[in-house]
Amino acid sequence: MKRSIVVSSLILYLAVQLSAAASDTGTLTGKIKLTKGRKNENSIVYLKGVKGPFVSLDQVAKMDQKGKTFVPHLLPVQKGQEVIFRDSDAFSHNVHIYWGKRSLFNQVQGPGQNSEWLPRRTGEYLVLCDIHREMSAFVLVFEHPFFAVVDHQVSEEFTLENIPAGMYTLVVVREERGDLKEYEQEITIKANEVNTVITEL
Amino acid sequence: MKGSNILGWGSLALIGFAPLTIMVISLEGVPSFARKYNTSCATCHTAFPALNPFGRAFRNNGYRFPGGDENAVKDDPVPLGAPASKRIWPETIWPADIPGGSVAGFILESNYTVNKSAPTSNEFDGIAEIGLLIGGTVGESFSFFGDIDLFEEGEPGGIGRLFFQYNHPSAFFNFRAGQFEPRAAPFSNHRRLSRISNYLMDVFPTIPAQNFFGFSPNQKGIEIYGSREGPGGTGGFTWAFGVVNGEFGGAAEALEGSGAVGEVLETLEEFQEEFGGEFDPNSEKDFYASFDYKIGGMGVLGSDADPDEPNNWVDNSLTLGVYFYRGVSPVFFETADGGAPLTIYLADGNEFFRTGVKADIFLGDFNVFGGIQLNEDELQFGPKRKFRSTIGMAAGRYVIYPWLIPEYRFENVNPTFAESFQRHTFTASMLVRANVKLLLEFVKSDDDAPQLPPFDDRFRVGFNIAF
Repeated sequence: MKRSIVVSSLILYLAVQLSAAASDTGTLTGKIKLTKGRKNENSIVYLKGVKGPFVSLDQVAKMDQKGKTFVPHLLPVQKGQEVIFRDSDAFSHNVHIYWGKRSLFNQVQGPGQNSEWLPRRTGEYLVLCDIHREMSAFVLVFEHPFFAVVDHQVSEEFTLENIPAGMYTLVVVREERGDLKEYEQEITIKANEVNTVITEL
Repeated sequence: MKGSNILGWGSLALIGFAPLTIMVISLEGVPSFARKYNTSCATCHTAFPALNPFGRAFRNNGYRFPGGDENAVKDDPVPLGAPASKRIWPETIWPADIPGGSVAGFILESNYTVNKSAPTSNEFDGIAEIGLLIGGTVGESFSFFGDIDLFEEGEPGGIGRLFFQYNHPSAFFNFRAGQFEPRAAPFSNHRRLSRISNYLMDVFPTIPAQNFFGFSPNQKGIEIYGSREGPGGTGGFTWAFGVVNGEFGGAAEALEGSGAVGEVLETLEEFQEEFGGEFDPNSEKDFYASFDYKIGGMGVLGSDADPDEPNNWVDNSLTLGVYFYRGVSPVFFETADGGAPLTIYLADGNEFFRTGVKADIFLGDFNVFGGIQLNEDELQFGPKRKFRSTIGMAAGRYVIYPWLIPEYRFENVNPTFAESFQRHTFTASMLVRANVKLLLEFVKSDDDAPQLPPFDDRFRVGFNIAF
């Protein structure tokens, strides 16, 4: 009897704590307006300053080789998340991944074929196709899951959910002539609210 | 060596006639840039080929839009490697790109000229010139530019200017090679608003020294140059240093067939063909240096410039410049040493200098510019005779409307070996469209000017179209 009361109390206590924790998060929606630049190259947004522990994203991330272009051009993933490269063209491509100048992964694939790759650390990875040298992309690997792809040809909007309340830096990342440029903006996430930000580049 | 027979100016009176259209210096104003950026000629030109401040910054940036090209280019280039692949160099070729659209443009020129001193006092020239203009960039660091006269004065023409250049990202150190107008030229003949007469400072020959050097239309060689903006991103300085062959300039072409002077030219060319190089009459190279400082106005690299600025000819500023050129030119003379006449040819018989100061003032809708140049030639044999000329120029233009720009130019030449003279040039430039121009011009020299075709009084109506 006493044990069941203790267990029930403990369960009730945890439920209260969890519900309290859930209500300490907010949502961030935003728009990245691109006034100049190539709209067929997407941006990435991510939050800087978020502290863990983090929920892992289970789903696989995908990058397409289509029209001799990597789609998306910039792909954010979480550490531990597998990336699948798919050849959606009618001819062969190659997936060659670099960490700095170090070659990590190099595979040719034919039409309709996939390559799987698991990044082992956070940071920037350059992706090239050795067959079509004008193709390039970046995979950015984060510890946390608070990132999104912004497609400027579609809606320019993004949404980040379950962000712990607090003050952070929103970072917009774009490639400019081979270099990744970051544009930062300070934001505040209020719990139980949909916070909105509009950034113009 | 005894004796010399170098033509003095006075002996050149009453010589033969030369064609009306003379010293044609090709125009600069490159339609391929308009296509690349999908913008009007007026973005860079006050009235082509004269550059406005944005156009000058564009040129200083290696023919790229100031402040970064990527967002301004509307014509997608053809990539030669992904830009990001530079991260893995030397494991791959450094990436670049070539223009996606045509790098060529054309310019047509047609004139009606009145010259009472010519055998035919007035005539239409049909299409006086068909020029091919090319310009573009390769990747982030290289660019090229050229003008080729496909057809000129009824004859197939040649290459006017054609060069490629490397541009450092800072724009402070750039290099170009090929055939170009040296940056030591006080004012560019290629970018003159008036078309009927050259700037005498650029091309005036020292005839007694047989020196037909000119900054224009071009010299072959190499040049390094750079720019840096001033405080607050305004003004700034530009510098240049170059080494070139030192070949005949625009005066030589204009004086071909002109009696005694024409004969001297012809003889020099024959000697060069026999004793000189394919392009250079001697082994000594000419060198030059120039330095300009701009106070106020748009930065020389246009870092904060807005290409959509409506009154883009306004640039309240003062630019002061100095330049120096040292060269060696050939001379021939006849001697009767030992009784038999003998012609002596010295490929490096004359050392010469061109030194000057200049100013360029923009105030509201006015632009006033000019300078003073000292020409010195010294023969390197016998009594080492010297010949000097001081050339002064003052010019002013006013933008009445963006399409209507008159300009007046005054030039004074004061040689030690001939009479001083003055010349007046007036031009009314009317842009019927941004790429279609009508010109009304006249040039008048005073009575002491040389009796040579370039100094005839002329009136001209001209029509230019670029596409």
